[in-house]
Amino acid sequence: MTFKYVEKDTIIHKLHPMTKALLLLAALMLALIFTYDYSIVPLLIVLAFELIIWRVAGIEFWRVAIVIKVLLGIFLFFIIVQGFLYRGGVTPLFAIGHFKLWEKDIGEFTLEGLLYGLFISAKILVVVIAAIIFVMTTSITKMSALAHSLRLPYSFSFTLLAGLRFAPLIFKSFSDIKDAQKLRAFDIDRMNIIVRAFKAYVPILTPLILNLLRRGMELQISIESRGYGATKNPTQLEELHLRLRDYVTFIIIILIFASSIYVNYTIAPPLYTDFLQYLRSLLRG
Amino acid sequence: MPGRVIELEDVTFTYPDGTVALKNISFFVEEGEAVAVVGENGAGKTTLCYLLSGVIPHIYGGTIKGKVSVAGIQPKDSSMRDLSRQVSIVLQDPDSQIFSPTVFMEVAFGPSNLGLSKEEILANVKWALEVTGLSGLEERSPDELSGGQKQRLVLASALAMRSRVLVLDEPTSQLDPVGVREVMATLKELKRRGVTMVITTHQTEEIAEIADKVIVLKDGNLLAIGSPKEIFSDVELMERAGVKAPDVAILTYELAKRGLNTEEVPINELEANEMLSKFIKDGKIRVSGELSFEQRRNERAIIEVRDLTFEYPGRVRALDNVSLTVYEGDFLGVIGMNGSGKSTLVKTMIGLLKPQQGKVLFRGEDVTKFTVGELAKRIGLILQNPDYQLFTISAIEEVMFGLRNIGVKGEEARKLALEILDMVGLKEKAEYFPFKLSFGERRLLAAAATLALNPEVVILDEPTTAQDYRGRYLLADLAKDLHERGKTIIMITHDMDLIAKYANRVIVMANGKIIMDGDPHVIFNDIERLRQAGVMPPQITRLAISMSQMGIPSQIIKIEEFLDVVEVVK
Repeated sequence: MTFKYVEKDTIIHKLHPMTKALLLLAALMLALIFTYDYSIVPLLIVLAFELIIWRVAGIEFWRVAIVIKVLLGIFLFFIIVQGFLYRGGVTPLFAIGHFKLWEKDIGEFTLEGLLYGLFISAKILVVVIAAIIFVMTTSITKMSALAHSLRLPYSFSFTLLAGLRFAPLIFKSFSDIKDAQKLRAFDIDRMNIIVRAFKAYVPILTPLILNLLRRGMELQISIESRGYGATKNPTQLEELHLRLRDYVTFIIIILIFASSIYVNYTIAPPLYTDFLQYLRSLLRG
Repeated sequence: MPGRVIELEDVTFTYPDGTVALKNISFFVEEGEAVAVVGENGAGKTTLCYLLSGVIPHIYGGTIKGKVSVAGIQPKDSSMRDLSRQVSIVLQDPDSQIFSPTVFMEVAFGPSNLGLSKEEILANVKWALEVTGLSGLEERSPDELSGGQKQRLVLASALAMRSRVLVLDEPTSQLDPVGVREVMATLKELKRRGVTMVITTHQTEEIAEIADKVIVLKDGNLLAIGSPKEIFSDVELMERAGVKAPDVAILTYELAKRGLNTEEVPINELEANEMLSKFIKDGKIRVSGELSFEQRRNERAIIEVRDLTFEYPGRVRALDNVSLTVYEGDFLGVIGMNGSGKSTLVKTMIGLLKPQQGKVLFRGEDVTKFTVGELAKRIGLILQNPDYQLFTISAIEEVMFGLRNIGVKGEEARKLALEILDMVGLKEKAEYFPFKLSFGERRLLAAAATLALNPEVVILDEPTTAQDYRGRYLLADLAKDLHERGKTIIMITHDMDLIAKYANRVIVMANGKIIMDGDPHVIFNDIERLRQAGVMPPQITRLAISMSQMGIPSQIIKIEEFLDVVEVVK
């Protein structure tokens, strides 16, 4: 996996997971409150800040390219949809026909729509980058300690842990079973989509489910014989403390996000309007 | 005087469906004792483990009669949680028992559930990892461990509970020979440190060196109880219970039948060497015959593997420039450690994997040109785990599924399917629900489903996994039958007895290469090179090699061959 936790000795790794969770939370909040296209200006500030943290955490920059590659389909989807449908679109770039829907001609691909699509993509990117920073610099031990300190029930963090471990095993079983059925001349990869959807998965899913039930039973024996649930509060081995570096990072995060909100309501709208005017004039030639 | 930690008095256990799994069982285990439980599948071994650890009746239901007492408490009267301080259980498959992201967390899971102090937990974990030889791997992900290491991790997790009794249900049956040796060495160490253990196993040779006491179960009855020496040397008892007696015990038993006056029956090669050498010196046994084995070979190639290289994404080379020609009529054994490339080699033969370099030819044609169905009619692979294949409501449907896939329809498919079921001995059970069959029968059924397509080459992947002594030979006997009918057989196995008994050619794999190729008599004689591949020849061969100075041919691989070259002097 490209975005698995990697053990490194950086200040970001040493931060309390809560601090990193705050970054993620703040990014998520911004993505929700920024709804106008001009908010791309403060978003770019936040993105730049995140990339600095990315670098400090010792994560290679080529991984950003992978993130963009993975998300490219979603980005294109938003750009195309918004390009045609964005209601504030007044500057057509090209048209594939003319269909009036209320006020808007949805056959035209507009400049404003394109930019709005880019804005949504930037929102997604800001959240995803923050999430990856969290995942790649926080060990699962620390995550479950965080869950504990947030007073989430023990069964919750246990389920999360077990799920993380069993998900890849389930995928492996799935492909093993698929291979096993191929040996009986059952070639699902060559069947058409309709056959696949209706009956082709029966020979694969039936054994898979039966196997999962067996594994589940064995896991139950294994954890119960190790006293799962014996006390309400199992001993926490990883103790987390907020340190000076956490407080400093807190302040920096809050400063950056507060100023991005400030920018959003002051400089961003006129700046963005000027930028749009400039683009439009370029297009008119 | 050490106290009794486990006591069973006249225990009978019945599952909710009416199966009586244990009948009137009584025995006791003292503090610090290691007790081995042997018997065929279905004898009640697992039920006994569950009963001792409280899995019965807390997770699986049923009726218990009689008295079960573990560390002074009755499992049925106490909860799993309280019991977990007294007794821990380890199951066969390490993969379904491990769930943590790191070794350390896995081992610490139990003690932290008990709410011990942090210092105690750290001490317990440190001790458990040290005993199992896993110190230094604390921060590793369990996925990076080998099979043997994984099972040792499960052991460590149970040990960290510091409970008084450790119950192990076939802890080695899913491991390769190296893994078996690792786990057995760990059990030996635990024994030395005075851990009370109950271990069920099919590995008589290895457990003999660990157990203080052996319990033999059959159909839920306690057949015998005694020291390993008493039990394993009783060849007739072992035969009755369906348990493998050591080769040297069978040898001595056969010699006694031929008139040799033996006072004791050896159970390991050292004892056997001593005893037999003495008999030879005293002139009671004469080495008379010569060992002869013929090497016949059909020169018509059926599968040709040419310069095959395969790499898994991001991993080391699974196959490194491998070339191999399989001839018509070969019964080819493939041996080597897990990860040596055996399965990868086979998977490229049947087109499940596409090699990065090189090719596989079936009768001169590149296998990648065939469709999955066309190839299945030429090469059949019988997999380790039948439960990955069975999904219909009856045995016969299961066989007909493959036939339908290749276009055989209606009555003809039914007729063919019945013929195949008859061949594997499941004709009477044609209408059974597959999961009502025993594990051994399910394997035969999966084999039948593959054989229904009438392939010219049949490949068996680990025909002995999770099978008992008799079950091990069911599939191999079937393969022998097919071989006599002119099919070519390839058999991947960790079981050297199986190779000795059936194969006429064997290849040894290590690190993605074939390092040895030849007749098993010749291959098994080269102990040094075999050791590099993590393989140990059968006990009878080891005995023959150690006695080669007395004139015993070292190339012996079967008990019958040994008997052929010696003569009892009357």
